[in-house]
Amino acid sequence: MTEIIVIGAGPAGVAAAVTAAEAGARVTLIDENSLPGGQYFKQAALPAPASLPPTLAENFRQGQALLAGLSHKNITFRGNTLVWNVTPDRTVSLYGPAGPETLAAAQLIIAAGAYERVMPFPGWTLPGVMTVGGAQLLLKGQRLLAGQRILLAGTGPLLQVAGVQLLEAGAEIVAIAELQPLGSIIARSPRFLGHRDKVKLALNNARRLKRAGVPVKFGYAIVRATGENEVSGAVIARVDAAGHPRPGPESALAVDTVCLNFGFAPDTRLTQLAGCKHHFAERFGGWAAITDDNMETSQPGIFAVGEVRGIGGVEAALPEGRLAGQVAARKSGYRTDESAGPTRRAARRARALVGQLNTVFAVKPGLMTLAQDDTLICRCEEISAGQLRAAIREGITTLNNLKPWTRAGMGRCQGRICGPILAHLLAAETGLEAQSAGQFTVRPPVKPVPLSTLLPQNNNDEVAHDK
Amino acid sequence: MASVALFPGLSDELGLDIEYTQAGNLRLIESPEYAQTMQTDIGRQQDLGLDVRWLNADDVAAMAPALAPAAILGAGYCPTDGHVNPFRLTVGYFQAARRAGADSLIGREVRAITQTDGGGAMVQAGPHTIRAATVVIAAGAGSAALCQLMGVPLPLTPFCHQSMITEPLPPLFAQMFGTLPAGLYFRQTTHGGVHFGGGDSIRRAEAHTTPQTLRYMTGRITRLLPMLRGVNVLRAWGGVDAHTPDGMPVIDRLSEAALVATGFSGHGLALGPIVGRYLARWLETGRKPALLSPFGAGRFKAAL
Repeated sequence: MTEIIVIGAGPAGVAAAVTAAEAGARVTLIDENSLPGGQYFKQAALPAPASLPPTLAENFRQGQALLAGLSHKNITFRGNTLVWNVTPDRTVSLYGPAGPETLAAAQLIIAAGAYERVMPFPGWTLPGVMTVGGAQLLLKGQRLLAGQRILLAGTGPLLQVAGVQLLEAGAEIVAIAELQPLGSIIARSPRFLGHRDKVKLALNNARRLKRAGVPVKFGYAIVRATGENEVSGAVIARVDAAGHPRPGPESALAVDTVCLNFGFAPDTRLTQLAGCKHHFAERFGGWAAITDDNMETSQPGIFAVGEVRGIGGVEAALPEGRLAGQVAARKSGYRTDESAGPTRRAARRARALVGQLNTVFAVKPGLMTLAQDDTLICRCEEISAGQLRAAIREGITTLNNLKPWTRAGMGRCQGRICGPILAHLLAAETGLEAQSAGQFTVRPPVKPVPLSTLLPQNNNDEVAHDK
Repeated sequence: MASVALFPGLSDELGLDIEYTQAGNLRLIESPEYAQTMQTDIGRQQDLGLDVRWLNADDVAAMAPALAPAAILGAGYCPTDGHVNPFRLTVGYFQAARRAGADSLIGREVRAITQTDGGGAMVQAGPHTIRAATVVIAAGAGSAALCQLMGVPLPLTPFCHQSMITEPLPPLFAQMFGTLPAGLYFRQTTHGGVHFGGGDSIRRAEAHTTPQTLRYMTGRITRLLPMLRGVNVLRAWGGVDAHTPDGMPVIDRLSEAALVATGFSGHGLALGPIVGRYLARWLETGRKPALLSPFGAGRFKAAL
């Protein structure tokens, strides 16, 4: 039995592991990537580079400070290791360099992070159309540029943050198409008065982009991507308050890369497999794990921290991770000096801000009309919007019914990419709230693994027969 | 046998390809002590007029070269059996019913079924109230609770079965496979994935997998199909079947206004189309078809 297992070595998971280890608990920290840091501190575990663009350098310094805590003797880090199943009794199934393995945890902390949301439009499956996070991964992890002439499209502050990073790394940013009109962002900006550092950062980014002559188009959406075998052009157009393209001129841009981000969705696959309760919180990215003040889920001994509780960013992830680390260590019989009060307050303050931000940068339902009947929605199984709309007209109202009906969500990604899109499509076609579509029931493995991973590891696997 | 005759024409009848593949069923023998049991089974089934025969190891290897020859001693073979895409079968029937004028309500829980003074039934489903001359309860493992709403207890036990499917592969075999002793079945779907299941029979009403059963099934199938070891598994899931004490379904009249068809004990997919047809005849004529007479609920009086 492992005292504490932490799944996910992003900011929340690392903070949890370090806090619990410093309290005396023995911790196994598991991540699918070879190095800790998660998407946010992707490059921080690599040797310090000779020179980094200023915005990446700051991220690098913060990451190094956090990851330094992992050298604690109580922490075992297992990289390149996929957790493909978790059960309510805290059995964790792994697939890593040493082959398959099953661990049992006395306390389990799930810090699985989030995945990016995208919205479909004609041409969105062309090579060269990717997520903003994908382009950032290439940049931070491999120091590679995704392209030379880039359009960033979607909604949220990440578009401008990534725009500056890509610009500093040498790309040309052809345009940034931000879904929200500037007026609606400004009208809601008084909410952020108490967060001067955040506002300052955003204004800095805007100034940098302006100086470089990058057109930032507010109230615009990408309506199609064009190209033969890869993307060579993109068309953006003004949209109305509901997200429908307005009649009027479109702008055609010559690009070699389109980076999309429509916010993030919590990765609740592991908390779902563990049987934890979830709720729908639109301003935190949709379905998220429910926890108490100690970050413990509805399943005793299973904690959820960071994005899994709802999109909260690094500022929420760090205190929530520390809190779960403290409580899990205490439950394992170790004493911690740190008082939970201030950590809890920091987490709440961060969540309040991000919650506001997320409402400003909400996805608009009218965008679903961009998908033509021949636009693919489920990329793995190649199911088009038209096929899905036909099924919905037959009376389908939930993701779980749409799946066997159409095969959408049955492919290699198991609905990770199309799930949030399908929820929007169902809402748009039925007029019901997005939450009434429910979630896809998660099936193990969370990612495809070779069948040999599931082979019996001992001879105790005679199965029970009740009849 | 009546059901087998029905499947080949279903895709045309329903207007949707149900991916029916009629390439036979092999029940594989892996250890000598079961070879004799199989021979006895075959004899009994032949007496019933079923086309079943014994295949030796070489016959099996010739018929399904993808199987590991060393693992198999022989098989019982029924050439008329087949397999089908259960989703498309269900969707096909649903769409055909809608075309024929049926209304549908999906995603609503039935909370009450009552008999009205006029002899009909009244069903409360979410906010909706539906009146009908007859209500047919065919809700699988959920049927016991619905029959209980009408004050009729049925001896149904929920059993959770587990399955897995691999990523799509080039065609390997068209037959359906099972084993003796039971515990594993597998087939390759039209989509290309190898779908296998069985493993255990655990008495529970919750549909989810257990790591132990997944390992057990994987161990068994990779002995028969070693080439699957390196193939990715996409999905594993659990589903709940309603079982009766004798493994035969309950198809009966519950009251003046209600019929029930449930407890298929794991054979609902194979028997669903033919039973549905006879139920429709029953509703139409008001007389219970003779074929359904062995399946009365009365046979379980002692069990309740």
